[in-house]
Amino acid sequence: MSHLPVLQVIIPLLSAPIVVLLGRRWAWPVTSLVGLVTAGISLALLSLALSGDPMLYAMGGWTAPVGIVYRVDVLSGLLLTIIGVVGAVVLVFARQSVAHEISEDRQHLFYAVMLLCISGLMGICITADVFNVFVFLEISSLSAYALIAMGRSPRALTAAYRYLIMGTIGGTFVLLGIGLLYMMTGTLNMDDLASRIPAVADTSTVRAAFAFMTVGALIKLAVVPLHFWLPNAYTYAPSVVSAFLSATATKVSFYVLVRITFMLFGVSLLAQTLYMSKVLLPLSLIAIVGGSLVAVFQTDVKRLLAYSSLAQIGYFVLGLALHNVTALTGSLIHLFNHAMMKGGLFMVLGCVVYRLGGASLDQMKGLGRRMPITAFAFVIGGLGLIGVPLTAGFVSKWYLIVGAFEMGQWWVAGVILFSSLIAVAYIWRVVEVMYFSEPVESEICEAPLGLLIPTYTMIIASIIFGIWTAPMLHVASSAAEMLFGGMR
Amino acid sequence: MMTFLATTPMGGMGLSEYNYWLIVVLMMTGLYLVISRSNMVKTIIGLNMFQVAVILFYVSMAKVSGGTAPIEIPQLTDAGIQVAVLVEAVGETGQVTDEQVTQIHEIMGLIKEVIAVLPDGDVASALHDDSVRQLGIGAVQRNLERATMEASESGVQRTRVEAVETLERTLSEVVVYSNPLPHVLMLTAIVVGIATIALALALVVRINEAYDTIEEDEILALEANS
Amino acid sequence: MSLLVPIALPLIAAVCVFGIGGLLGERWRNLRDGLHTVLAVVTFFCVTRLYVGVTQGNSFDVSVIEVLPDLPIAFSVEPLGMLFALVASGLWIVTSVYAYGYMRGHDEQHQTRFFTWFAVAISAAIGVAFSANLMTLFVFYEVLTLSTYPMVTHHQTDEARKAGRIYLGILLFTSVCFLLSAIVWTWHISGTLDFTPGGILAGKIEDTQVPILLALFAFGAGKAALMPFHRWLPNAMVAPTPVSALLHAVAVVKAGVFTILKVVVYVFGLDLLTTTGANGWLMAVAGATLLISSAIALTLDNLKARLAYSTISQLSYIVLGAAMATASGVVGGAMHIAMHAMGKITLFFCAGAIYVGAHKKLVSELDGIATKMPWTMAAFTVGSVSIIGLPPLGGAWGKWFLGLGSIEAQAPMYVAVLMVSSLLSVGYLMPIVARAYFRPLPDDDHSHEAPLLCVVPLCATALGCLVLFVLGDEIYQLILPIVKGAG
Repeated sequence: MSHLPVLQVIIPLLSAPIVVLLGRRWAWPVTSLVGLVTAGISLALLSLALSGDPMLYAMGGWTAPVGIVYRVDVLSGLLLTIIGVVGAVVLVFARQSVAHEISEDRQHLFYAVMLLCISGLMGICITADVFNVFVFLEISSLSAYALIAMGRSPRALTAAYRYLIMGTIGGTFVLLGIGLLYMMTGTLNMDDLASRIPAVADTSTVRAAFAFMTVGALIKLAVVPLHFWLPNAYTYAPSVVSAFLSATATKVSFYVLVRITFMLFGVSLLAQTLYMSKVLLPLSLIAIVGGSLVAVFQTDVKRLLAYSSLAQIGYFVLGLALHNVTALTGSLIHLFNHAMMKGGLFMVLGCVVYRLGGASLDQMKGLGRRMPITAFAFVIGGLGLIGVPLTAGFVSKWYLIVGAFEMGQWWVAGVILFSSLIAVAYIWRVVEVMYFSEPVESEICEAPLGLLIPTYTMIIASIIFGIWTAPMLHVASSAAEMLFGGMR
Repeated sequence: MMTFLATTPMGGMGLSEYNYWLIVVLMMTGLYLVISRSNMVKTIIGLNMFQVAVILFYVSMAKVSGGTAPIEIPQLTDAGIQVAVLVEAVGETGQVTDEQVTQIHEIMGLIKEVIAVLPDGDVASALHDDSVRQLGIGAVQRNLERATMEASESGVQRTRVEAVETLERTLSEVVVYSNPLPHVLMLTAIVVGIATIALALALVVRINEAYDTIEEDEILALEANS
Repeated sequence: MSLLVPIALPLIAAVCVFGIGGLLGERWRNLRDGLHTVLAVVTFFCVTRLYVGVTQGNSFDVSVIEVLPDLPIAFSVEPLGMLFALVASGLWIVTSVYAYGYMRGHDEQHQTRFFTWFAVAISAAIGVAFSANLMTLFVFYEVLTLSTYPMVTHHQTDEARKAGRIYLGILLFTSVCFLLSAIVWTWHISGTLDFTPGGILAGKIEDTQVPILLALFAFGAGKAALMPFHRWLPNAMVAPTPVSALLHAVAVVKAGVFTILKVVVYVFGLDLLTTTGANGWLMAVAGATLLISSAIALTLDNLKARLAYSTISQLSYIVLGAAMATASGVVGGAMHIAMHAMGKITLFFCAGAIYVGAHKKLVSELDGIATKMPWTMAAFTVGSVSIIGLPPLGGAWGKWFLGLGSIEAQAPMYVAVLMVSSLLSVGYLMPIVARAYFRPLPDDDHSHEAPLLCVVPLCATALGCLVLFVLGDEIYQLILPIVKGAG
């Protein structure tokens, strides 16, 4: 039990080469088993974090600040759960989807790289050492580049290449920022940094460090105007990868941003000297409105959802920029809610691709008749993106709006509400094509159960957690209060 | 005591910080290559330059002027332990016994061994020029000699305690090490960089197979048309 | 008996309908439709039992789950909600029978899907009626919008799609941008969203902000079709007539005006509105909508379109009553919910029956049709008189109390407005009656009376208009408690 933190990272990490060795027949069963175990560990860690003080684990017995320490607090627990659960569900989905979309001789390699990606993402969320964050960031990013490149279209390759270039620049900026901080404080442990930075905060070195680290995180988070890698990456990646990355990678980058800003530099420092809100607020609003507007005009539904993701990322950053507990709670709960909704929606598109070979609006004509169950799942997921009450999306939007009201920013609340309407436009465009157009062929070809069950798990979860909100709200608000209270 | 945190200060913007200026130039060159070149291999090279610049930054930050490789010297560790015990004992009693004076001489012997072995440039200048400065074996020696010449018992003790303090300070400045930690971190970063470049080049090979070119503007045109 | 029963029963009906129709197929449609109506009757029975319980002094409160901290999905019974629930569940029975007749007579496709969403929409309407706080009301209000969309666009033609866009566009726009803003603002100011007699805003809101908040609520309830957000209603007439009948004469639009009434009485409180004078502009907007839509109705030849604009006009009566914020005004508005529902549903039933029996949609085609469709036109006449507001039919009560209310509100101008609109409604309804009875039938006419399943309900509702007149005092006594103590 006491070794759970390190097991969370090691089990997927070590399973990856084992999967490569086992070959095609055993790749999926072993991978999904590991995924379930990892999800179980993450839930256990979350409950441990909720029940008391943050759990600390010193690697190799070397304590902080000399050794690398893993820390599980409520915020880490939330993200570990998201990654673990989404990973497990997506891996169940992967069996038929990967068999359909990726060539046979590479499938076991695909699963191995998925495990590496999961391990990297978990590592980012659980470590309390900034350089370790960089290492795991690069592990997960490299795996992500490789996963995206496995898409069928040659554009997947260029999309992965562009993501690689931008992502590496981002990661290197983070590394540079870490170096500058180390120069000024002499430590790499997050808690230690937090206690030493205020003394040197007024130097240009520390300010430069903050700028580099934040921009690096923003590149990985695909905040406008550093978002150019995301649309192509999500559109041309294999369906499983789109579902997984859209539900986890950007959430983890947001986590990195939150850790950097709140835990390292501290709340009061941010408010007084670093003027973060003034920069992030306009960017987030542009992302929200711009992302949604561009989504309305897309003809490929995967691309539409990718631009919708840009808008949702805007919501995360908006909660951060509004700089109060309520808004940050909204952001954190939106991490969870969006993971379920977007993961579910991309899995719906995975079902469509499985049967129809693609997910453009033309191909989806009359889907309501040909694949009724799949089409209905899209409608429910879409309602969540719009923010209809009783879906998860409503809860996060409520908190963001109330947070905006509390800060006296009425117009921000107006923008959030307006963006819900733009979401109606792009979701309803797909709904109309699915239900009001004549299909090319009219035989029913519903997706297989192996794909439908994981899809509906996520979609129904987004409804359940829109009604039974208490547990996740408790987690998110505890995390937000912890960040603002400066508790360690 | 070994100093692990001695780093070069980033104070002024003058020419003495030429290493940082070079790093900035390298970094910006790399970034410029990434942005301006359409040939994918050149972009990757630019990316690599950018990463190397950051690696150099870490290494440069770790190098202490006058510092040596951070390899442990057993005699110094021994001496350090003995001095620590001595200082604690003297702190409790406020007196330095004759036995302890002998111990001081032993410790000085250890230090002389170390100085004899280390190359010139690695030893703190204080120890060579000990006739002028307050630190060094010579200074400790002089303190002990003065102690023997003191008239009152209290004067003897006072001078001996001074000797112990001088010894402690000397020991902490025998050798200055460069900071090993950034080097270690950069080992990891180099590996990460290699993996990234390898992956990037693999992608370029596949892109070349798919599009028959590695010029980004040509690829954009091909993608727009298809 | 729990309050959740009448809300859950229609949902159970939806599941049964979907199960039987979807899994067993159209051959079992009698079982499906029979079960549907049986459950409708049971629901109405439960609602009446609640009513009896309320008159005996019991109160019912249920809190289901806290969706947001301190904001539960909760239900409770109060007079306005009781009335709305009675209307909705009662008319559900008649409409379901009518719908079988219409859909079968027309051989409509996808009947299972239609009736499934029908039942869900009724559940949402009853949920709105019994909501104990603004959050619950908002939740069910949105569910109502979304569940009626598949019915509005039932024919899945291009026309239906466009109408659906306007429907959803206007209703979601108003509810998200205005209503939700108003709810969050109220929450922010007063810390609670519970419906409380006397309102929750008194003393916490500045006088200048009251009109703005009232505007957000009034226009936010887009289902009340206040101009300029009224266009969804005529556009929704592309739906099959049972949809127009129940939803647009009873459930959907009544949910809109119900929201406004409830907000006026239980969120603002009548005193706050009258003392700050914030309601004057709302009375003006309601009055303008009243007159303009009546005038537009005069010009329209399409029967359903004419009835649609008549609905917009009649809804503004209720909004006017709420806006007056006086005892009689509010009572009049509330009573008119029931009266108008009964009258308008009769008219829509007749319009649908005319379409099924005679395949006619335009008023100009209706010469002499009373000879072929006697029952239909008789019911139409009764409904028209109720809408015009003459005794001995229910609509008279509404107009009476609204007139009293405008005098109480010291705005006697609105009495004149009411009179003018009555004249206008004579103008757009009576010619239809006159044509049907007094013009000769064209020679090549092949019309016949509508099927029995259509005629029986419309006669029942026409009779209902008479019955409601007689029951006027009972309804008055039901509503009166909410305005006790107000000016």
